[in-house]
Amino acid sequence: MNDTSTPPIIEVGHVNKWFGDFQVLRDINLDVRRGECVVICGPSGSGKSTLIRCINRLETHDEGTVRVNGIELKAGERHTKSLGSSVGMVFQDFNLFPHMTVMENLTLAPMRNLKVSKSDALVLGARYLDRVHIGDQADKYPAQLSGGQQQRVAIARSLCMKPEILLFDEPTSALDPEMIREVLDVMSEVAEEGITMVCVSHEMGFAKKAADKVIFMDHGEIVERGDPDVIFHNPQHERTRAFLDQILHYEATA
Amino acid sequence: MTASSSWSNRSRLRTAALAWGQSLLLAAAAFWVVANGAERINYRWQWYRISDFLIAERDGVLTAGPLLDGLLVTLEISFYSLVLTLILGLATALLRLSLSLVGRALARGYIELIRNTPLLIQLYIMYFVLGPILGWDRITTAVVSLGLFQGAYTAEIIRAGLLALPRGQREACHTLGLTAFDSYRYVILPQVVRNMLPPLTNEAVSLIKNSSIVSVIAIFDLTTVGRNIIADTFLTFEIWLTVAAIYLIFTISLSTLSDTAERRMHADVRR
Amino acid sequence: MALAPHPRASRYKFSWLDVILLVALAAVGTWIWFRSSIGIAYDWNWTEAFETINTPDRDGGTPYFYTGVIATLRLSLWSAMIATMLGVLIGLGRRSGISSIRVVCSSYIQMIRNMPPLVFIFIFYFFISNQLIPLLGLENLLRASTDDQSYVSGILFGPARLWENLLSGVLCISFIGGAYIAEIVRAGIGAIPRGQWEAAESLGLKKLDRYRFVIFPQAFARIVPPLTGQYISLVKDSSIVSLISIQELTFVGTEIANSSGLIFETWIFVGLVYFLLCLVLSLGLRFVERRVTMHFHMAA
Ligand SMILES: Nc1ncnc2c1ncn2[C@@H]1O[C@H](COP(=O)(O)OP(=O)(O)O)[C@@H](O)[C@H]1O
Ligand SMILES: [Mg+2]
Repeated sequence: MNDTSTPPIIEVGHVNKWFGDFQVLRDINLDVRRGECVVICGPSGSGKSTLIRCINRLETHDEGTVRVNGIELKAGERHTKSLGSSVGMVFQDFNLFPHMTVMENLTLAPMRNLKVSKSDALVLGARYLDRVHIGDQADKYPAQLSGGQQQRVAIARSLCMKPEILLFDEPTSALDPEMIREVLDVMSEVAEEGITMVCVSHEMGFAKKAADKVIFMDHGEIVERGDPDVIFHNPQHERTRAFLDQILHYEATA
Repeated sequence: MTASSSWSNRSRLRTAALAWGQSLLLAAAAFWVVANGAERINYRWQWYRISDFLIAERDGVLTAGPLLDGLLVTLEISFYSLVLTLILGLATALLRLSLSLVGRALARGYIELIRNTPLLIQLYIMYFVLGPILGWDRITTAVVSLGLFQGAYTAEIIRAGLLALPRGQREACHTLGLTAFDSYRYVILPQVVRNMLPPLTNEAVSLIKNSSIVSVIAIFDLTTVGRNIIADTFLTFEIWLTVAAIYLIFTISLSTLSDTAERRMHADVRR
Repeated sequence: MALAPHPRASRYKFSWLDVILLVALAAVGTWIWFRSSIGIAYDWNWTEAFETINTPDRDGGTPYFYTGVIATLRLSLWSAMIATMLGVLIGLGRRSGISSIRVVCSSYIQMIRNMPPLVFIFIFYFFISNQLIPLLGLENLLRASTDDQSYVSGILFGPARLWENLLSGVLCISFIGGAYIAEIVRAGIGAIPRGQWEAAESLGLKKLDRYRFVIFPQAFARIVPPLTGQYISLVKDSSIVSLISIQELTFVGTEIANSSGLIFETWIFVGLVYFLLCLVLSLGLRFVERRVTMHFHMAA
């Protein structure tokens, strides 16, 4: 999958960002190739969300360059228009539209933006609902679904826009333990199909299975990056080790 | 984390400067509209005469002018009605939450009656009907009207405040073995009072605002004094704008206070 | 005083509190009756009051009292419409991307909401109605249409000689109500969680679509309940424009009370009519409200 001949689909170069006096991102450099799956982990508040939100312009960076799918995103400028629907995002708390049925959630954007006809949109929606294994829930409202089901709807909703890049911001952190697996399974399947993915996640099992590269962030910096096996079993950096110790210790006692 | 955009220091400065510039521009525009409008009806501005009505000089001693005297009456009436409002509001809220059938009916009836009729009509009925029957003077009539009116709204706020306290708090007190008095003293009341201070401040703002309506029963409050001065001097715009400004100074500072308190409280809770 | 353990608990029992309240109520009632009939010896005359209210005007038309009731309804209806438009515009203006629009809108809201309505009405009366109404060129329109006034316009706008009067009242109430509605609209939209905006944005929806399909439908369910409350306030607030001689129910009440001398009865009548108006309105609006919000399945 690591096709080094083509240019990266996401290029982040020397990016700095501040919230007031507080620097959230410090000299971030990151290249993601087409079809790659990158997992970002690190302690809470280290700037992971901010970094991926800079990629789809929910946030703007202050210095440096961000180039997505060949489009240069200028510092301080929010212009989602040019990105169009090429970057999708799945949120920690799903953010499904509560006043619409599952199917309406799925078909809204394709109909409004890709100008897909209603009947085509319904077919499309049904196909992706099947892909996330909840084809039978199309007419329910989000509040009637479990957390795991809602998150799978959210993934299907993003997929309906046929994005080239899919961003995940801690997609399983708001879920009860027994639902995490169904969501991770769907994510692994999506990764196998070759969509470029950037996931903020602490799920080591998922990272080992699906990730091409793992990035460890702390205090706004990328501390360490590399193969999942190397990062998790043989981290080079003290801070990475300390962080992993915490997670592993917790998982061992839990 | 509610800020929607990210600011570097420099752009924050620029935004602040922009906001100030725009406010100044706006003030200038508003002033131009007023001045231009006044000119069209050949209005002659005499702002210099205003100071006499704010601060008067008698025998070489500076004393409050009629407008400030009026303000004092407004504040006095607002204060007494606030006291009445709080008493009525608390009593009504407790009655609504009580198990007593008569109490609940009484509280509901009072709230519906007040909320479904205009304050002006309430004041007229107090002044023309109940006042004469009970032999009240004008000030009493005004204070009772305002207190009765605001009390019906405050009751709902106090009730909401009492109900908003999570059950878990009472249960936690119970499991800790606190006495009823201690739970109220240290846990429940501090939270309820804190939660209710901002909305109650807004009730005070409402009272100051609504108190101007007592000018229709010839009480010499700020509004009446303003109307009288205008009748004597025809300084219509100057006086009305001054009177409005005086009210706004009080009400806006109080509501800003309550807004800030509320926002800070929410921030506290979120952390 | 025992608090109900749960708001819905319904184990009422007749207690000492009920007895005390009943006794107090009876005492106050007796006292008022005693003061009115013996203390100041007021001569209640409900029959005459009833006749006065139902007496047709000189030309045998609708009784004066009822024209007042109708005028209040008419005033409220038009004001509600204009105030809603104004409120939605200003409320959205508070979220505008252009900061001067934001500043204008929020200053307007702040100013109106913090100023005594009475003071606003007097300033409006002396300033705006002297300026604005002539500017609208209503007088010419008025002169042209006084002769052949249609039935429909009579119902909608009342007699032509009072059009200017009506317009002043409507504008006055709308300017005040608009600020409150703007605040309701702003709060309703502001209450939509940030994630909804972000989800809509990352799906690539255009700004107008974000509002139309995602934000408005959700905000609507939050705006309608306080909005209906605001409409009732509007009917009540309309009473103060009687002070600038807008001829509605309170104004009519003042005139009837003065001319007939039946002061007690007239004001009680007027109060009763407002009470019934507001009560019927709130029942009706509560029904509408339930119908409107029923269709929104909000997240649990
Ligand atoms: N809009 C914002 N305004 C101010 N500070 C923010 C904002 N968003 C995030 N932050 C701060 O930036 C830091 C990084 O946040 P975030 O990227 O969400 O971290 P992570 O996702 O790694 O937990 C945190 O300390 C957070 O408090
Ligand atoms: Mg995060």
